[in-house]
Amino acid sequence: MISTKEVQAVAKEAKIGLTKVEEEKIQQDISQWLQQIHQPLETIEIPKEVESMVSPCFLTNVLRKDEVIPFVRRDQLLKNVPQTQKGYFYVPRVL
Amino acid sequence: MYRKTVLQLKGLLENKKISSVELMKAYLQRIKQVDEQIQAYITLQEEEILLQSAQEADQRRSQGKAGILEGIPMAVSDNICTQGMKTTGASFMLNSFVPPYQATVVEKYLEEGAILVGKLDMDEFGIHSPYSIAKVRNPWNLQMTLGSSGGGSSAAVAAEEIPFALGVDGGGDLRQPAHFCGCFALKPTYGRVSRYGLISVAPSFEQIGSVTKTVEDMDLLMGLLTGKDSKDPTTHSQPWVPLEKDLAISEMKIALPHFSDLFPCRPSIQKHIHKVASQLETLGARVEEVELPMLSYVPSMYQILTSAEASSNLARIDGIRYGHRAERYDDLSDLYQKTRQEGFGLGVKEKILFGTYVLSASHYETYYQKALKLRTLLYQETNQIFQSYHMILTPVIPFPVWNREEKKSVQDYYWKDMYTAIANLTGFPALSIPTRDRIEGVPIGFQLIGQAGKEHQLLQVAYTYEQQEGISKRKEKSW
Repeated sequence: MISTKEVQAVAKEAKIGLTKVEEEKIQQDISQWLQQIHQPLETIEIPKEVESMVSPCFLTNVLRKDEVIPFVRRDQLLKNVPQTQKGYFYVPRVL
Repeated sequence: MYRKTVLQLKGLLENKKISSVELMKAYLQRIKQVDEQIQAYITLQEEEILLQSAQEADQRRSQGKAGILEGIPMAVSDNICTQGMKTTGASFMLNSFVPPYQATVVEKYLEEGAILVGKLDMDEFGIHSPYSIAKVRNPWNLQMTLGSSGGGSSAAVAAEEIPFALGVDGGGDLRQPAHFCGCFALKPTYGRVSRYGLISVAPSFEQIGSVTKTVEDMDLLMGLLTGKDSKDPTTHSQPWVPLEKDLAISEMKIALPHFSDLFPCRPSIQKHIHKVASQLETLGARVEEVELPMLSYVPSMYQILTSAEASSNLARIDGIRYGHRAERYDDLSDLYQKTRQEGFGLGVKEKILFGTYVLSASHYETYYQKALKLRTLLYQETNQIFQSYHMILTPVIPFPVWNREEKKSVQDYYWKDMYTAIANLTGFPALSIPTRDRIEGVPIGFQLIGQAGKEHQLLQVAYTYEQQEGISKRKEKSW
């Protein structure tokens, strides 16, 4: 069970604004999800030696030459930016 | 003409029985005829450009420079980046995003001469939820669901609007709609296919795969896609083993996980899978029931881990570098919050918030960390089965098709992906295979999960089944 306060806290953390209606729906849905998910997790004992599996891909280090590979031109990249100024991303002041 | 398979079209083009221009005209006509109702396409390339591309394909062919897919139309789901063509992830957030680069999978097919006709509909960012606003319909029965988020790919192939399609499978998003559309869909082994250019939501789960009408088409198309890509460090260079049509499947040992009372697989689905098991045995394979106790934990770990990854991955969509940006805001934090409030749909918001919750300090150990360990146990248990069996037979979805207007419960959503998500959690390949059976006029299929890198074994069994059952030669058509 998750409370409305917790939903608000998590939404703030995730930087997502919510309407009251959304807050209520999400509170109900996540509570139901937790109810489903919690029970099987609670019943299983996992041996201590079991490691976490973050990905099914077992990455190995690959070394390559440190060389510049051209990507996309700056003007092409900036075409998708909602707000630009003098060829830069425009963001509100942070300080 | 549009009813042909990729291999048949390739033959007709190579033998100059048809031209690429004629073929393109036939598909454009077909799309005009049916897409108003199916609504598989979210973006269509301009007709003039498509006919020009087809003309160029004909020219290359006459000069002896034809690629393997020269002049054959293709479509891709809208979460795969296409340079110069709008790619929205079916989200308002990216409704004007035009990628300045090409996904590797698209580049590979274009290099072989395929022509990109358009982008296919899906749930927002591939997140299936009760709040989905995807318009695409099931061509077999317009009132029925497509089962999961990547519906456009299968609907377009089933409605003969394209001979094949590419899509993304993060937990069954390709295999489930293929199952309800009578198509084949393959989620390859993790790392087989480059993910470069995919608008990723859960990167350790997603693989790009094809939807096709036949096993032979799948073999041809996936063989062209695989291989190491310097732009995606998760890819590997294990060679693709082509389908050997004459190989018998009598050596194949297939494991069928026991249907337990711990999870709600409906009796009609259990009966269907037992029927498929008998059919496979008639073809020479040996099917034996096995225990897979971790199966009942799959929905929990799948929901926890995909939500956690979505919460982290969708953080980049914040209105700064691309996509929608709120018009009015007080400061940077307010800009993020309002942009994401306006841009994301409710299903996506819920997924992100659930992911943020399970990743938060007070719940991290209880949910996220535990799910990662369960993932290891599932991998070990599945791998153990592969010590004695070549592959695993399961349903695709544990319940029959449902009406698209019917609001499924959280419990149904919880169990829906239990069979398909096994392959995404473990990284093993899985293939959704159609049968001749129907429920409410909608096809029903089955799933085979194979050993890492052994897609050819899945295709082998599927090919033998397809030939025996006459799947691709059936007269009955969806539309």
